[in-house]
Amino acid sequence: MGNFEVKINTFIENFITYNGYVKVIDGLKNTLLIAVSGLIIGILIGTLIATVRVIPKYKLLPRILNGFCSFYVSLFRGTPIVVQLLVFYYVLLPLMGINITPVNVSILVFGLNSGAYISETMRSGIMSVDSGQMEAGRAVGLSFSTTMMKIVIPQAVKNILPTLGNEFIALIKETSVVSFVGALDLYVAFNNIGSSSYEFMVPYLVMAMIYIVLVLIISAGIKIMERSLRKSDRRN
Amino acid sequence: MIDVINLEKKFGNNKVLNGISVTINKGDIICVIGPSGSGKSTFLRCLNCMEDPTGGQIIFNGVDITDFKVDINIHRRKMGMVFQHFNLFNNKTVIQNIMLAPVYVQCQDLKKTKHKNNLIKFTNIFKSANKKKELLPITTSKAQIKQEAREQALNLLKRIGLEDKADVYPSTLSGGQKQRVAIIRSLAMNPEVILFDEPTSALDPEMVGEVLDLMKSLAQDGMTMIIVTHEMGFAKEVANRVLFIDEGLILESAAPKEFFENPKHPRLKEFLSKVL
Repeated sequence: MGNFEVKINTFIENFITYNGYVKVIDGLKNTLLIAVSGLIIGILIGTLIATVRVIPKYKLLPRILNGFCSFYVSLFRGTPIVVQLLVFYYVLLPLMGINITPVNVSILVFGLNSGAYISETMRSGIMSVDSGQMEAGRAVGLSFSTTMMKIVIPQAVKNILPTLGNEFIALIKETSVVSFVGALDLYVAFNNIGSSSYEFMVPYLVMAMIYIVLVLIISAGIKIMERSLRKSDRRN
Repeated sequence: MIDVINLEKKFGNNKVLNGISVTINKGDIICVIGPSGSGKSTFLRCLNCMEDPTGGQIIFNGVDITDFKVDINIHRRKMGMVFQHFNLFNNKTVIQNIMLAPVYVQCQDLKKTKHKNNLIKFTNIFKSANKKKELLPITTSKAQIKQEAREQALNLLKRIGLEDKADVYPSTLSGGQKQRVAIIRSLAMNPEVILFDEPTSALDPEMVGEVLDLMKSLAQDGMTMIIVTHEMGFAKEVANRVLFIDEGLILESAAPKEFFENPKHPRLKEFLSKVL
């Protein structure tokens, strides 16, 4: 075990004395920034797509939009997120002449990607709400979109909150691939500490612990949210 | 008030309504009776275009509302609807259920007037002093609309004796209470006609009475009502015309006394002999 103590001491030295913690804090910030922004963008895109996909398809425009949305979903669910990151950072954005930082590219790609997943979750949430709710809204003279926003989606969100929490946790963990485009995240920060001393054991252990703590905090937050949203039900 | 001309509805190849024509006048209380699967609910749901008719016309206050170009939402505000399964908004409290539509509609109108005023202000900049247009009058504010809607909702709740339930969620109400709230929710829009789609079928017998009593009191106030129902006694007592629908056609239309005591169509005779 003496060996282990040496390793810990090396890590502490690197972490505090050589300012490793600055990078770790930056990495943590980026990880959270990418996950949270990705989730927000994902929820917005997902809700929009899910709404488009449940519009009655008598007319041409909803049909075209629906086709576009299914294409989008199959595209982003059919390719690995690493490939999407690489394609956006090295192919698409340079071709369009847009120059943005790796962190912003990651936010964009994670948003688009989780949008595709959340759209399916949201669609199942919307379909789980009794169709009578939509009918009642339309019957008092509210439009489709107003009824959707004020009545159906709030109930749908309540139903899919556990799944959304899942998505958020998955996002936090998936962000560890943003180093492929050179963004500084939690993994890169600890990798730097490790490679400066050729000693990876303790840094990676600490990294794993930080991820676990993050996920535990998020699950607790979701539980609290769920409870407050369940006020209109009697099953508490 | 409502003229239904040759109304047809198909679901795929299944023809549910085969050309229904009927005129509904202001103050009419019409009960629609028929065996299940006869198309009476579909007929009712076509009246406010909940189901889009596949043929024929519905003229409501002079406008053909089956036309896709007509903004159906404006006309639905004048046609209340009450459902078999109540369909109260589960994520809103009782009073929010009642206030939601009136507040939203009036706030939307207010917003439109404000936008128009801004446009007038903008164009006025380029006009000479004597040609300036006057602004449209704005008499209310958001807070006032909400206040008035709240008072109206409380008055309606008082009418059904549920004012102490204003701030609870619908899931805590009994079936009869839910249906009464659903009825006053449609009343809150000050509709010209209310459509009832089997309002008492999902209630247990004990609660049917309170809902029927509320409907009777609406009838006494002169509300125009179209009621799909299986409550023959209610139809006999309250309606001023009873329609019998089978296989998507109106087979008999008569005053209740004539309808129940002297039915003409053989299908109706058979139906009445089974249910009475």
